[in-house]
Amino acid sequence: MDQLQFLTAMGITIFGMGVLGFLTRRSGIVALMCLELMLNGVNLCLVSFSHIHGSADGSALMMLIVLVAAAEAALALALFVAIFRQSSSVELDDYRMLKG
Amino acid sequence: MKDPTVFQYLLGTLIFATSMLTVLGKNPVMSAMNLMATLFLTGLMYFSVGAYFVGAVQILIYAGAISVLFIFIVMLLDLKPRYFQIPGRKPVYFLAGGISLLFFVGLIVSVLPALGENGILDFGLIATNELVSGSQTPEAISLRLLSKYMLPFQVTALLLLAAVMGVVVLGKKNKLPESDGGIF
Repeated sequence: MDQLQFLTAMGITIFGMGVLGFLTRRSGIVALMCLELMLNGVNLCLVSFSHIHGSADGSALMMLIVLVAAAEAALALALFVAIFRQSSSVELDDYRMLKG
Repeated sequence: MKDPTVFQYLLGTLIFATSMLTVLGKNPVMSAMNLMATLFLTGLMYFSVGAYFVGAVQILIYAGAISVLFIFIVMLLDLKPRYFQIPGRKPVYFLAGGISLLFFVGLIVSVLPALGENGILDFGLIATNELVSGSQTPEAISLRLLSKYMLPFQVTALLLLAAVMGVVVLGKKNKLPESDGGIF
């Protein structure tokens, strides 16, 4: 196992953890954290590929992903705070009003 | 290509443990703390392959800003601890576990054709000699961002503007007189 395989396996492991948590956790905020984990796994893969090929393309993409993740976290957390003010819960199972 | 160093195996184990605790922990505060640890350790992993600028950005923005935002919100909302297991709805539970396991195993099998080589006991803490000269420097990355990835970079500015406006709108008090209870 060389470094690329190891780093890619680590990225996939983090991504898999994120998928598991996103699909199974019922708390909206913990689901958001798992989303961040998934993005983090993708970032690790991008940076390792960029490192192996000796180009900065993957790292530049990683910067863009970090910016998107920051915007997404701020917006989603504000959304959850706004919802929490009205329904006093961030459990995803409690949001059934939009289900026809 | 070199084998992973002992430092990287140690980091990998710690990242595995902290991400597992993020997903399985029952207290959202502990989940957020473990998320911060995962992001920080990933930054150290970037350091270990010689991508210093990327690692610094990871620690500053991810571990320093985003996870602090998570911890702040979790403490603000004062969430109750919830166990990982879901009462009832077993098919959904197994479906979720199966899908994520499928993702995980499929991707792992595709990248790991040969497990187990020698050279595990390589005590080099940081593999700097692997660094292709000038590939991961701030200069190279910013040149890419401002030439090849100029359009995504500018669109990101629009995205940040939209996010700021959205957060301001969402955080504002609802001034409508007839709103009792709102949408929920």
